[in-house]
Amino acid sequence: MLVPDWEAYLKAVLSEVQFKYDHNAIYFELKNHLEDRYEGYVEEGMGDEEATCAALACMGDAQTVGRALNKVHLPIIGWIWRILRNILILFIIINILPTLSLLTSGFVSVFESYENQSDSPLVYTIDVGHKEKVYDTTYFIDKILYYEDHTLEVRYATWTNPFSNSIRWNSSLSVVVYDENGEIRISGGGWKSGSFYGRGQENRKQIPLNATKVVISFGLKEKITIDLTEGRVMENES
Amino acid sequence: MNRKKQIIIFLTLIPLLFFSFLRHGGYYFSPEGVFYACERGLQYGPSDKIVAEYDLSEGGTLVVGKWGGDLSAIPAERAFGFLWRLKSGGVTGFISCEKVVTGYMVGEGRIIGLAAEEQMKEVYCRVEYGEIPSIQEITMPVDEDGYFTGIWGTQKEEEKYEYIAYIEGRSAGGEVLYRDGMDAYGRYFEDGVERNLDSAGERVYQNGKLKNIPFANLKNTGLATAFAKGKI
Repeated sequence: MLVPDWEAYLKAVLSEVQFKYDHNAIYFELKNHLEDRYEGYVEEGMGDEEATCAALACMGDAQTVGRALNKVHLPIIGWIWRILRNILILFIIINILPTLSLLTSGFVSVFESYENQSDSPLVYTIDVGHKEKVYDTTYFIDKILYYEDHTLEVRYATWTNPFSNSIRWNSSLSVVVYDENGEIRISGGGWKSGSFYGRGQENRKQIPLNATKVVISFGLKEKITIDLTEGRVMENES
Repeated sequence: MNRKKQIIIFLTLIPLLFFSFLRHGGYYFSPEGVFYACERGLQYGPSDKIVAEYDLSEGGTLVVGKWGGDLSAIPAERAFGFLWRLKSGGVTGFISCEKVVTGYMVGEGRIIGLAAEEQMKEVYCRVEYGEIPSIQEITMPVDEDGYFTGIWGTQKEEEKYEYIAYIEGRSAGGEVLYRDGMDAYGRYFEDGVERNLDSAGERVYQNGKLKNIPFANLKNTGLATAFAKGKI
């Protein structure tokens, strides 16, 4: 089927629309509309020329249509819409990486599990279940484990609100163990993963079975004391 | 959907996404914003007062705050021309000021510190630097917050062993109210209390490296102080 040339009509319409960035969209929309009408009329049995005239007549006067479209496509609204749309696209792009990071490294620890810090058999465990909020980070002290090789282990998790007003640091904690003679000065190790949600383990070697308490420090000033003589669940009893 | 409705949706989404970008990127509108956010992240503060801000040679600003009797120093740098973020390359953060006069070197030859006693109006500092220490002296006025600062010299890579060997708090009349470290006469003070020179000297000899050098010959070279403080 021979498709008529609508260019003259469409140019006349577009000449009335001030917002140039919309010309392309208006052009194709009107053109498709005209072609649909034209094809409809041809299918109804009209000749090419008659169908063309009918389609154009159906659309109306080019100047009138153009002025109506110009009211809808106001340049000021068009510019605001266009600028905001581009800003939105820009922000979506620059948020992609942080969002991916948030979903992966930020919460990677959710799928992790604790691993025993010693190959030695367990002697006792203490379910601590203590929650401590320090600034924007909440610490969950989960459990204390004591092994036959005198390793004492503290298991904990941290949660930091991703939208909190603080620059993110990997917040670990410090563990000091005491017996009846005072602080047991011994080195240890530990790890902590994740940034928003993280799990961590701290271990201290050569801790005697009669150690009395653990002092856990968060940040610079907050600390809690956990009594090691209470709440022990002995492994050989369970 | 017409454009006006879309504009309303855009105007709702853009601030949310911008906020998300600021939070996840660690961007703030001022160096002070970076400073307080970093303090929260490091789990101390907020500082009661920002006592000073200094331009850094490689761009950016060092913000110094006072939190109770301690100091906080955090560097910030510009981002995208109008935002600020934490400067890369290390953060001093919390500076414990447990002594009556505490001086701390924050890089670029700058010393910052706090004097805890009101009658102290100036602080004298002797800085030693280099492998075989050279000496640089500096006297700094103390402001109403007890804060003092000064540039002792230009920091060079080969002078990375710089440290404050001796610090002195003085009254308005120049009377020495407090001493810490080894003074020009070889007397060693620890947080205001004079220690027996011999004991300090013996530690030098016990170290073994400089057994044949009389302790008196080490005075004012910086090595004696370093040995006495256990830094070498």
